[in-house]
Amino acid sequence: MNVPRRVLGQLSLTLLIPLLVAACGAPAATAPQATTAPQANATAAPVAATIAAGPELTMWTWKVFHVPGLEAVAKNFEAKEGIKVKITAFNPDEVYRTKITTSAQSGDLPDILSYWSGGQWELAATDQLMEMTTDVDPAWKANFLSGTYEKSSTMTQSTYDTCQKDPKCTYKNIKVGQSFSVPYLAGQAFFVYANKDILTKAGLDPNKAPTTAEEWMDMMKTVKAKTGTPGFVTGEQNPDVLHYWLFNPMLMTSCGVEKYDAIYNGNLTFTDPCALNVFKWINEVQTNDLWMPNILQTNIDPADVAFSQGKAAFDLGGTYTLGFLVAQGMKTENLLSFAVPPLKGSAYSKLEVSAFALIDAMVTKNSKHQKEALSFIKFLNTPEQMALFAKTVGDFPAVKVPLDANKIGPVLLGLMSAFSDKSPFDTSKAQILDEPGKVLKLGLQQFITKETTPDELVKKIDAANKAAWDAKGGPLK
Amino acid sequence: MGHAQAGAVSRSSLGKKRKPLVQHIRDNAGILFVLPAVITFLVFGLYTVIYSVVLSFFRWNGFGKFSILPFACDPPACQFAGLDNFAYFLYKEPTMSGFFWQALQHNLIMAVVVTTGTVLIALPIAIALNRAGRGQTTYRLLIMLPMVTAGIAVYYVWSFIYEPDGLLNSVLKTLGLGFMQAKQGWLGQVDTALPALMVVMIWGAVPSATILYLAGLQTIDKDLYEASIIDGATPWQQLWQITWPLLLPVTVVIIITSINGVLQGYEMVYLMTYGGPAGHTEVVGLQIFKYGFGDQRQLGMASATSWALFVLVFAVAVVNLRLFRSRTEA
Repeated sequence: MNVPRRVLGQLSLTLLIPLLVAACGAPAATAPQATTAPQANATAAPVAATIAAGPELTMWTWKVFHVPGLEAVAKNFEAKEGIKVKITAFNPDEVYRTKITTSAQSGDLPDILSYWSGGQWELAATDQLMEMTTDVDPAWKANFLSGTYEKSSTMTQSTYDTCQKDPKCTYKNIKVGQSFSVPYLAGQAFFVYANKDILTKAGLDPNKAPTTAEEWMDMMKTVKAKTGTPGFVTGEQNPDVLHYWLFNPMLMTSCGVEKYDAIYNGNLTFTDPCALNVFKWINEVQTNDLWMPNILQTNIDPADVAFSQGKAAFDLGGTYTLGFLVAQGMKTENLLSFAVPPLKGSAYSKLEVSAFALIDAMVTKNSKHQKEALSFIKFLNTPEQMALFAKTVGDFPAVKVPLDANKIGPVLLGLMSAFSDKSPFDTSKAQILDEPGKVLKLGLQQFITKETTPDELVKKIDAANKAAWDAKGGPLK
Repeated sequence: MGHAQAGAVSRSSLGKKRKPLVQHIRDNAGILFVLPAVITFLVFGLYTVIYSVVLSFFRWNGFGKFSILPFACDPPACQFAGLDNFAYFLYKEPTMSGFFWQALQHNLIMAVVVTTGTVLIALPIAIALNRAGRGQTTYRLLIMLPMVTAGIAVYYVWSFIYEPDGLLNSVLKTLGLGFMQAKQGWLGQVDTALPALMVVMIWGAVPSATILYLAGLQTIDKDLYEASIIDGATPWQQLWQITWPLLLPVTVVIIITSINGVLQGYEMVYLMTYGGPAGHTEVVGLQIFKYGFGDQRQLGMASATSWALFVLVFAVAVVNLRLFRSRTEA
């Protein structure tokens, strides 16, 4: 085989160029790990600048609209401690999860991570996080809203027991009382927003919130009959919405916490009238044709947008919905908000709502500046900085902040005042298992497609719940 | 080999002049040319395929250690599951398996309808284009437009068309066909969501199929048609007796690529319905995505489901090839 020199030359170049690129690229990729530079993805210039000024910390989140709030806190932290914190957002959720998974594999996690509260255990179990159990002292703990830190940032006996029984649980090595994160964002679903203009047009009192679910249904019917506007919208394309935001609060008030726990934990069944009545009420929203058209193809944000455009009289959401509605141009004076009302004859006459932790902050094990990162999280958790964060982003902090409109803004003030210290959800020990949960979520959607009835659905959920608990060695006692 | 022979070989080798290095490289230049591609395949192709096969027998959430070279699986984040992942979605967990079989059913319906629809629409268009005299280039450009438009933009446009107050319902109302409107939107109703998606799929698949058919038509010898006219063949007979048999190899390619695309694709469903309403457009690809990148990150389950899908796609491709090969050979 006779190959001309020209071809040989080209071949050599073909082979050499990738090698040269790889050879030149390697030090650049590994340099930050070999030096005091904080992160592999930090560029050379900022690294050089921060060596003189102190380390630059990196923090990741998936909430783009939280970035200004976190940056405002970071700016104050830099002024106080001389340490910069660079906030980066990756979204949507799937992208963020994938980013964290791949970065954990390559040791490129940032100094500080934001993560879904309660989801941090799988990261902690694989030694990705710094333990914070002893760092969170009583004074720090005292800042948190009741039902946040102690419930989802500390490994509770109940979560531990369930994990040990579950062959699929991936954090069996975490011990009761251990903590690897602290919450900074809290809130709660279970809030209904009403458009006062539409209520007025329908001849209803725009300032009177319904006290029972039946009253609420009547209001929706009146709105539909008098104005032609559909009664109800929420992000039903997401199957969790109807389950967690509507069904669960109604089930809690209807049954009371003991029965609520017993039903989910496999000791009672969903055929119990207190549960069946809730299914029937949700089904009636469909039979009365009160959902906004295309409801099953409407996700959370589009649902809120539709509500803000007057396409429905009521919107089901949470504390986090209000800021979004205002950002869409809705006036707060045109909004009436109330917690999901109970059915008549429920165990509780009103749903007491308390805050739940939604997002936790944590220090990663591969951080070169764990002490500084912990210091930033502690700073973030102070009432003053959390108030600044809340006011900037219009979202609900996990820390007790001054109930002052100047500090947190008028929008959040109203919502925070509606919260109570105690909610039956705080004491609930219900474990909602995956399989029955899926059957329930799908079933609630199938009410809308008219593919199932409440009586049929409760039987299906009970069968799935029994099978799931049997697989775990029996109902949770 | 005896000592004498060995000695002869040895002497003969000594007698030979050693090749210079440059000559060695020249002689093996072909190997060197393909080496980058082979290395790329081994690293990014074969390794990942083997990784995926092994992963399908484990439970792993993406954190902690799991590797195959050297092998590592650190519990509790990684656990050996044996055949459990396969068993769970095939039959063991009723909810999970119910979702899988329902999704597979949707995939199969889509494969049959979209492939058939594509062939039935693309072939007449290609024949018409082949006969078009003036303006053929313009027509070809127009027919190619769906191919060159970004998928995400197309999917959003179609979503708007299908909305309750979207273009389709408005047109039906204007034409006095209000009774045909989908009040919940074409993607929001159980009975219309899957057909609506399939229309978009066919719309997207027709252009490439048309181009393939057009290329095939231009290779058919015109003498065959002239001879058939002399024999008194009608246009319909020409289509069935000449065009269709000679385009069969092209049809095989279209069918196989269409079925593969429909069985493996999920991005359109992800963007337009996310499997809804109430799971009525769920497909296996989307389930794999949800297992792998959803909040539970069951990567082993995602791999196992992927391999089940691979077996199905492979079997369908083999059956198709055999079926059509026997016909084309006949």
